[in-house]
Amino acid sequence: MGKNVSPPIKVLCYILIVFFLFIYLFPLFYIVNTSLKSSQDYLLYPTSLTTSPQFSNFVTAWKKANFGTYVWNSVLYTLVCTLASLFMSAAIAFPISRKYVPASRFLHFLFLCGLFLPSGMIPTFQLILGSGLYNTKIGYMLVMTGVNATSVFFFTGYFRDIPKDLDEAATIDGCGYLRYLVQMVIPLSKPAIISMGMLTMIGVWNDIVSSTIYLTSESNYNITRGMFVFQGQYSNDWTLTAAALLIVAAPLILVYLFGQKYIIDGVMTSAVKG
Amino acid sequence: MNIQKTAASPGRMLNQKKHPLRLFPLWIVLLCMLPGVLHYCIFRLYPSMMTAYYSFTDISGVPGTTWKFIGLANYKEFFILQNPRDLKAALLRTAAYAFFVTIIQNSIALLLSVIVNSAFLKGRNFARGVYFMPVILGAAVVATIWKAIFSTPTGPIYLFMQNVLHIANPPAILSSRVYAFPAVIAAQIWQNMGYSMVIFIAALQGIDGTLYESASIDGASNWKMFSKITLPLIWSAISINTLLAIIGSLQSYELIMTITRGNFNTSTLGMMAFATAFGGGGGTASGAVVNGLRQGYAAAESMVLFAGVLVVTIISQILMKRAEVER
Repeated sequence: MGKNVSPPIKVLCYILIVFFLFIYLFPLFYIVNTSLKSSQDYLLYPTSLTTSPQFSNFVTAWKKANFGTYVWNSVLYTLVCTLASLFMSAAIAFPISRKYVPASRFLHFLFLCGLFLPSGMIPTFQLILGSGLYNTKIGYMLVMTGVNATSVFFFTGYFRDIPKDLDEAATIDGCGYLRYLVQMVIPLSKPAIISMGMLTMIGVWNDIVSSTIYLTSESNYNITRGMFVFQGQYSNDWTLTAAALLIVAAPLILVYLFGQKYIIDGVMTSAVKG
Repeated sequence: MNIQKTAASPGRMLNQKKHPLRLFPLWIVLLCMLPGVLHYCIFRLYPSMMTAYYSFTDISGVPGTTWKFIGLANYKEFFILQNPRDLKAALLRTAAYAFFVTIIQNSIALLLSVIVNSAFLKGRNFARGVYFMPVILGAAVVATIWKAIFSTPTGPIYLFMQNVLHIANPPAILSSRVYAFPAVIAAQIWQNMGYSMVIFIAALQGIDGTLYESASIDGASNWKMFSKITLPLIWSAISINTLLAIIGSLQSYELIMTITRGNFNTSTLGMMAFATAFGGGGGTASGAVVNGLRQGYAAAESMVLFAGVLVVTIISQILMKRAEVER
């Protein structure tokens, strides 16, 4: 909009912004408020502001929902899947960006296909079932790891900006390819790696569909699934459910607060390219 | 043009051949690519193709059961043998879901992005950050928030209906055959609006500000500037957002699965395929294999959905292109 916006329109704009801020913030405040109430207080005055915050709700929810096990599963899944996805995507994107491999174009096309093809949920399930990896951590991580087209394209664009002279310098100094890739190329593309890394991490941490399909033993649950099952069991105890929800959401919100720029950059760039 | 191409290509070929061999040995480059390419072929391309194949079989999710090729029987069941009312309801509901999500989500996103992007507004980064937040929270968290907000009889929506609107017996929204579906649509929009908004903002930031200055010197009104400068210049973003919202809402069932498990008239085609293949979804701690449902039929449902997505995508792109040309 131009600079000369008339006052009534300005007021209208502020009203709209505040109205939508309310729609987005109220549910979050409600959850935080509920998570700090005693269950008696909640049943009597569900929407009043909490007067004596019950931080013990978080401890109770953590214990009752068995988060002590699930959180480590989630950390394992998130770390392994994110690192593996990032490395695999970078190892594909770099040679494509440099045309170091024959048929770079074909590879590019191959990954483009992935954006349009139908989801392969059922055959993937049959594959995991047939190979005996059903309800195992390895099987789940294999499914959750992925080289998606967006990260390959995102990286390809970034790697092009690294001067080719650097490749030559590295070979002259006797630096091996793998070492060059991991210690030079990836650190030099930090913003791209962080953007894609954060988006992947968020996706793995939040996963509920694949964990529902592939993980049946509680010892393998991720924390999101644990929270979901907990909510089903204690469906009327909203104070504990709200506390459990905030425990699951806390790492996401932390990552978001510190990496908002990278996450939004990642979304903007991948949407424009994809 | 042609001559140039043929003349240039031998040189390029030579260059390409010489370059990689001189720098890094080809085998190590390929070896590093191998895990990613293999994973992509096994877990993305192969399953994608096999969905089509399985749709002609009666394969099930129970391990160790035999299965066979049954031709078009699954498709016949879906289109002909099924109760026509069920078929119609499922298709209509899927279309309604995609339609309302696409239209409402993009309208709100466009409106808010224009405001958030305007120079006079204070706290725009804060507003943008808040609107985008549900995108990163994920389906399970958003669904649980939604359930808390709509819970009966302590949820704020229930209390609002009871105490402010003075409705005698407020319905339990999320377990109502009438209101659950709009509530799920609202959840989908609430979660993804920020995503569309960020794409619009990226497009708006790409517009050259001097265009507005010269237009306002010429005495153009705000609405004129919006319709004659802003809209045409962000048309590709509108096109991308429409496409993303259509594909996203047609295929997505995470929120439906986590909020209602497809009950109360909320099941779209994507949710149906999931429920057929893996059981009711949601909170069944026993998991999918025990229910062992008809994955061949579910594959056929997925293929119908894929065909639908393809057709709608192509039509919407043609319409968007035509609208662009007419401008």
